[in-house]
Amino acid sequence: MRAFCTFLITAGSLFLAGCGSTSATPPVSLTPPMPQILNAGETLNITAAVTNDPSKKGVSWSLSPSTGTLANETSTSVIYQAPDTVTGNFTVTVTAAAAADSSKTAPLVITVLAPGQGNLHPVSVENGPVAGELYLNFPLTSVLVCEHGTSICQVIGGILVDTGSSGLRILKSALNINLPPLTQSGGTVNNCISFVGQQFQWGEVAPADVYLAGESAIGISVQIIADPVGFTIPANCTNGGADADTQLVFPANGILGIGTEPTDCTFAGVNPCDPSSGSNPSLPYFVCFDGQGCAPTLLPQAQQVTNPIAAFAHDNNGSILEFPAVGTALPTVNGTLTFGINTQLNNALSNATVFAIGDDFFTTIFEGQPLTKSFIDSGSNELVFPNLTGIPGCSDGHSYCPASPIVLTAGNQGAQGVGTGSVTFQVDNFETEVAGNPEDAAFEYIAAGAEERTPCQNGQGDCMFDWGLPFFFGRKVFTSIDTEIVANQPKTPWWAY
Amino acid sequence: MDFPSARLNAGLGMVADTYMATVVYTMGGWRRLQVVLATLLVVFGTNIFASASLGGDLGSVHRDSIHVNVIPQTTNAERYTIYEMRISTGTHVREFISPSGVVFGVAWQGPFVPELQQFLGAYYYREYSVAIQSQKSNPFSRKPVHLRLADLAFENGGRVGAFYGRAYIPQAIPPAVAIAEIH
Repeated sequence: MRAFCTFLITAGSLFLAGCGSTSATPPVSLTPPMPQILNAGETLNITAAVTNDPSKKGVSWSLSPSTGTLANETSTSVIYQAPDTVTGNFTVTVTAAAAADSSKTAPLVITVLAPGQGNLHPVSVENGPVAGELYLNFPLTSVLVCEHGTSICQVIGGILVDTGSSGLRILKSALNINLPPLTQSGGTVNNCISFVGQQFQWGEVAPADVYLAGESAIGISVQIIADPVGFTIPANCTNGGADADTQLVFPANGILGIGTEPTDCTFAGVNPCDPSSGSNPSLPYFVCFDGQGCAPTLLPQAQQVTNPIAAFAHDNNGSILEFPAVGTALPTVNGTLTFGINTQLNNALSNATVFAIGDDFFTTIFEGQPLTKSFIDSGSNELVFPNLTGIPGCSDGHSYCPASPIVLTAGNQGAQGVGTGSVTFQVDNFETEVAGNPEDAAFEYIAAGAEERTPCQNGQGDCMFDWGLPFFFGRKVFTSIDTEIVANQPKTPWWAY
Repeated sequence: MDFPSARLNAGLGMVADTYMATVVYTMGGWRRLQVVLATLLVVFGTNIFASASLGGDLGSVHRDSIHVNVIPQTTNAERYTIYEMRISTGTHVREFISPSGVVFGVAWQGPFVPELQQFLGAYYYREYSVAIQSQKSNPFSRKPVHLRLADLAFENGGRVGAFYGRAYIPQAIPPAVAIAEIH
């Protein structure tokens, strides 16, 4: 029934009455109405109200998965008791079903936190959601996403953890809850993100409640990635590139963008998409009308596709992403995403070096050349750097394929001299490593950039050293968020490791 | 990969975009001019916006500037002239025009890659698009782009929200001008 309703709402928007209920009000409602967060051993009182229940039959309760217990069950209330011992955060759903009609239900999602893990979220480099499709070095996680203001939620796995972009983006094909888009003048608000390879993702901008560990981002806009039905994607979004709207092109269910900006239209603290900026409407927001097309539009910052961390009530100034060292290859590597920097005992900067970001980049000195557009990015699956040492390339024309492993050193320099340090890294033969480890997803020694290119001069040409996911293996990498404050540290944004 | 025919016709969509922008927002003078042009295009069924920029003449630079609603700043160098526009996305675009009046290079830097259909012109946009869509080795990699085609070089680097790149016609670069000058 629920899926049926969702379909009608999505397709027509005005046919809610066609869902089989004569009332738009759900017949069962719970208090509290929105997802709750508990610590180990804590209890939660839940009450249910049933409309159109003249014989006062009330509800029956169920718990899924059956972790923790339901106690003191009555036809109108129950107590959820979290286990006393919790070693990792988990989520359960308590469901109330109307006794008079068990098809009428209401869920309450409860996250139970392990001690000291309220700001910790697991991330794994593994094969991902597409069967038979092995994508190397994709750090994946799950997110709990709910219809705004409700406990109608979905845990969505296979989401790429990306310190190189900002905002949560979900393939519509992976979504089974209903997230209606924002509208302007009767048109839907849509968003466009493009990546360096000119792949793009298009989709509606929809408010949702996003829960990660014990943190919550309520009512933030997310992008629902899908091709439009009633109009075509504007040319300045497609820009001739590839549409990454399916798992065939983008082998994940979405992107958790936890980069250096609070929204996807904030650049060095300036938000040209916000109406207060006085800018002309432009990418990345459009208002679109079926049968007509799209026009660029302005959108208040609070409605823009938002870095969920920046919307947290606590621990909102950045994050730490860390993985153990991998070595040549492993089938799975488990890492941790920690929210906040210097906000709790477990996210202290301690002896990490801060590297200031100026004009979106820092500088990497490699083979004596300053590469002035360098950056750290968990969403890049290799190290990418120009071939300044004559390493043999692979047959794919991009990756490095040296005859034997090569150890190299490069130096990172933050903007305005904030942060210097050298990094030693290893480059192995991409083809033989991947072919020799066909079941593995995590590779520490793969790199690309082998093709002959133009030297970095005047800020054009080969100016970037992309410290992709292999850089995170065996490191804690801090990503602070622009306009947020980290006490006693330089102005954000910066990276630290 | 097939080149989607809808993309080739996107110029008409651009006109629709323009029309809709006028419905939703108040217009400046440049916008108004653009709308007049767009209306003419609809009336006459042609699309001068798709005419060449890269490889085009000074007139194509002006058409670009109308399209993005910005009056370009002009810099005269010894061997070429630069027309620079800061478009509404915040991206800076520079078009390089030779003494013989040919746009031989376009460079950009900013949050978004500029609208390539406009700045490359129909011919080079098609070449670029076919080439970039045929890059199958790794469909979602974040490696920078470096296309070397017979009569077009195309580069794009950076990261989401901070791109830099350029396109140029190697054969059209004036004598004694270095590629590094296209920035």
